[in-house]
Amino acid sequence: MRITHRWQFNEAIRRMGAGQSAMADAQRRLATGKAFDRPSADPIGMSQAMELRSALRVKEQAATNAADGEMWVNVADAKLQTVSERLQRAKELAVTGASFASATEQQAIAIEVAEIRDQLVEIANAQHQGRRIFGGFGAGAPVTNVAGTWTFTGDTGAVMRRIDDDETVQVNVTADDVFGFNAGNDIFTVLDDFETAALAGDQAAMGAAIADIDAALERNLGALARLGSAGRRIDAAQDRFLDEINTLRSQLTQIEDVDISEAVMDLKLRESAYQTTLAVFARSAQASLVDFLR
Amino acid sequence: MSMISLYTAFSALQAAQAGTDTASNNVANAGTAGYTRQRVELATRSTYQSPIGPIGTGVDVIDVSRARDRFADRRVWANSEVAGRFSAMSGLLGTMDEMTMEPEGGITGALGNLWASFEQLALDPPDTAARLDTIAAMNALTARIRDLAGSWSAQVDRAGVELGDTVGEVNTLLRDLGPLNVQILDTGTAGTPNDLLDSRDRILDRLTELAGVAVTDNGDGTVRVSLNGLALVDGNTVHQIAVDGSYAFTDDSGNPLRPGGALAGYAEFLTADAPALMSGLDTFAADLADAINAAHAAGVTPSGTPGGPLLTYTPGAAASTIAVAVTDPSQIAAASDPGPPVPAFDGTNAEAIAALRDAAVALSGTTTIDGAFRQVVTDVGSRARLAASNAESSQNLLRTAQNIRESRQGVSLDEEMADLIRYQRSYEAAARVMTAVDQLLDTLVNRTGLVGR
Repeated sequence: MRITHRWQFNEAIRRMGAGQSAMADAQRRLATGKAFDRPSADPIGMSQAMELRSALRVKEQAATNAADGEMWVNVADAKLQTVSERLQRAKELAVTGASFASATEQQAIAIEVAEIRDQLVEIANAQHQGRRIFGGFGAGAPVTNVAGTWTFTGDTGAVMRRIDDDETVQVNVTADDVFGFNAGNDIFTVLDDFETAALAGDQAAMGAAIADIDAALERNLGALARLGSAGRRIDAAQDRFLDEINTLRSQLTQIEDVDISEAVMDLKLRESAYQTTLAVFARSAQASLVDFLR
Repeated sequence: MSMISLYTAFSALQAAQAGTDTASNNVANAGTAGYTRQRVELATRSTYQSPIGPIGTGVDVIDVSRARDRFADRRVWANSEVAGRFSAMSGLLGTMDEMTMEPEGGITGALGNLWASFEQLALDPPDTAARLDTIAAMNALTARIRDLAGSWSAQVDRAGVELGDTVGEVNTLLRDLGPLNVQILDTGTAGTPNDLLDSRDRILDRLTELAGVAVTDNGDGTVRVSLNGLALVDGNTVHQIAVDGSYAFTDDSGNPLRPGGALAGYAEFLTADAPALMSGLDTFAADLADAINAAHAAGVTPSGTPGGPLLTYTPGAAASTIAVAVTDPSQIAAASDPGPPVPAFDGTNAEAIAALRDAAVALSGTTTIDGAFRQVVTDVGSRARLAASNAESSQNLLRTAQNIRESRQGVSLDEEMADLIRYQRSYEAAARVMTAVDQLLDTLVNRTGLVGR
């Protein structure tokens, strides 16, 4: 092939340009740490990276949801533990009242029962962060005494929290359920009747309260069990989050990020290739017949 | 006899001078683009029939010719047509994929934030801050979609302008070509018009790159330039090309043309790639707005009215017009229970909207909204990648063809130096011949008749 000077220079300039752009690309990858900076560099990898980023975002929000759900479960659980304890006390009082109690003791029982009832009403209407713990989605007090009748005035909505990609868990129990309104046997009326019986010294009526209080205890235990199981599912999900988020991150890293040692080697290789191109051109460009003519 | 030798030597001097002049012109133009190296064509003069036999009478410079190879030219033209087309496409598509700003800072992130904001709202529905945050997430997403649509349509506008400019350049080149043909035809009889031929070849190079024209030699020195068999320039007849609003090309008689080269690249981008990408983005934006609005309409606002449209758009231009319809946080229908009264902490509908993330509601129910956008990005990425790799390989082929042509027509300085030495020596030798003839004549004129002196 006949080699002309312009060809020689054009090729050398092209090779130098190619060397420089290869080096710039290697430098960009090292500086940004990313294997690609635009969709066309790796359309499939980009699509995977986008999908993983979305999945990561979903997982992060699930972690927030789970933390929120855990708080509600714990708050309700603590309240219901107190309810359990107060009902036990009411049962003891009923047992005492039904068997051997003086008139003075009966008066004292009546006073304590009224206190327990008031405390339970307070718990049933308790709020946390401005929200009724046992009131479903409603903002109003779930338990109200309407013209002498205890009435459920709350909402029965199930508060659901998404704690994983497609796992949701109910994190509330409603006063309707826990305090026996939907069973037609609410604890507040039971305690009212108990109080009336104690004031009247009606031992048989006080004895009848025992079964009702037992039923309330059962319901309360059932609610505690539901909250407990929700809590355990949330705990399990939270244990998984760390692993799952790490897995997603490492997948993302494998797709998006450069292997630094490989990238450094690559840059060195391209640098030396570029320097060789320059050196070769510097030598070959100097050779000319002109230098040897006198 | 000796007198003939003088003239023979003189013709050699002339030939050597012409050779030196040509070599020096070659050296001077070694770097000129499109310059074809020139060669002195020599031929022996007719012989003189002397009584003792034929004697040569010297050398003639018959022409200064170009070392041009039409075959190498055609190879360059064929490749530059393809390279011109793919370079034009790659130049336009190559920036469109960057405009998505994925995977960071793009629509994917904004979309993820939107879903998360609805879930966050479900955690505490009456919270005004959470409601405002949802509106902000929608604003951020729609702004990103409009930005991308805007950048893409600006790119389409740019392609239209470049197409118009290129048509203008092609027409200018065609108008230049006609008169050149005439000049070449006129001077053809008085020797080869090398510089005019070089100018014409430069124009032909550019025309094939821009429009992929076919070039035919007419045999009389003029060329015919045509597209799809229709002549654009033939001798000194010049036609012009035009492009209409739907990127169809016609000549000045209204005949449809299908140019190649850069014009084909721009037209293909404008009629195939850009509409497909824009419509993908529009479909994504419309599906997003429709799905969110439908889910939102199923819920109720705190005051008990059904959820109105959250996102609005103009059909047919969804991506560039998508916007958030609400500014009042109390207009977000987070609740499902219509009441009355609407339970304050009911976030069921906000959860339902967030759950659209996993629902196949986009592209006629075939994929998720995120999936639809990923398809848009993969589409633009693949198109840009294909165009770039086509551009690179066609550039490589073009360079090979150009190198082959350059090796035929280019100036090698070493070769010119060698030629210069050759002409210099030949000039010296011819001068020596003249001196020898001069001495012979001197002997004859001044020394005859002096025998025995």
